[in-house]
Amino acid sequence: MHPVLKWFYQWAVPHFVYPRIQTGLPWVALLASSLLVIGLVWGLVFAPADYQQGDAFRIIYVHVPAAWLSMLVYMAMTMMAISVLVWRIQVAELALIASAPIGAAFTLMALFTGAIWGKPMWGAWWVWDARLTSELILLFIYLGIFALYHAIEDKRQAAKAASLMTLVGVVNIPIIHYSVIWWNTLHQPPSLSKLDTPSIHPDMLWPLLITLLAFKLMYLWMLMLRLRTELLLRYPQSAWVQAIVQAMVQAQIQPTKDKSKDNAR
Amino acid sequence: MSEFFSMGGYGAYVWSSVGLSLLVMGYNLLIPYWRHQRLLQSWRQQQQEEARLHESG
Repeated sequence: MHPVLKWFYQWAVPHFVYPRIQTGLPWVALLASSLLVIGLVWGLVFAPADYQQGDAFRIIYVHVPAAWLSMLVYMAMTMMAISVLVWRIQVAELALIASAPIGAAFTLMALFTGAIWGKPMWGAWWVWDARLTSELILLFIYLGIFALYHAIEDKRQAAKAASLMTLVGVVNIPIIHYSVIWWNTLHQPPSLSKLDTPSIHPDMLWPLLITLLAFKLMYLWMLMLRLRTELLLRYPQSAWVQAIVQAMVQAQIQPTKDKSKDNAR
Repeated sequence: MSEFFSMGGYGAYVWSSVGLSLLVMGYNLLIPYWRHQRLLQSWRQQQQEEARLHESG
C-alpha cells in the first residue's frame, strides 16, 4: 500500500485515534486559546474603529468566525457522512455525531451575535431576510441530525440515517453563502470572500484572520473532547478500552501505597 | 479605561456578544471534558468493585 494512503487509513482505527487525541489535546488547547486571546485583544483593543459603525463593528471578531465555522463544521460533516456511507468507517460515524452539537453551537453563536449587532445597526434584533432565515434553518438541520441519531436504537443504522440527512441538508450551505448576493437583503455582503482584494482594511483584517484560525482550532479542540468519549462508549468491551481502565486502577493503587510508606516513615 | 469598556456607546452590544460567544465555547469544552472524566471514573470504580468481590468471594 502507498505510505500516504496507509497513513490516512490509520485514522479509521479507533485504538490508533484515541491515544493521539490524548497526546494532541494539550497542544491544540494551548494553540486555540492563545490565538483566541491574541485575536480578540487585537480586534477589541488595537484595531481602529469603523468610520460608519464606530466601535459596534468590533462584533465582527466573534460574529464572522462563528458564522464561518457554522458552515465549515457542516462541510466537515459532509465529508464524514460520505466516509460513513461509502466506506462504513466507524470513527467517521462518531466524528459526525460529535460534530453536530458543535456546529449547532457555532450557528447559535452566529445568530445571537448577529442579533446583537443588528439591533444598533438596523434597529431590529431580527428580520426575516434570506441570510438570517437560511442560517436559522441550518440550526434546525444540526439539531435534526443530532435528534435523528439519538432516536434510532441501532447505532450503526442511526449513523447511516444521520449521514443521509447530512447529505440532504448540504443544499442549504450554498444558499446561506450566496443569499446576500442572490437576494436583496439587509445583511451586508461578505468582507472576506475575495482575499486578493478584501473589502476591509488590513488593520481590521489581520485580527479577523487570527480569530478565524482560532475558531477553527476551537472546533478541533471541541471535536477531540467529544470524539474520545464517543470512542470509549462505542467500544466499551474492547481490549484497548479495558487496558485504559486497568491502567487507571493501577494508578489508583500506586499512589496510596506510596502514601502509606510516607506515613510509616 | 472606562472609555474602552463603553466602546463609544456600543459597550453593551460588543461585550454581550463577546461574552455570549465565550460562554458557548466554554460550555462546549467543559461539558465534554467532564463527561469523559466521569465515564472513566465510573468504569474504574466498577472494575475495583468487581476485583474486591472476587477477593472476598
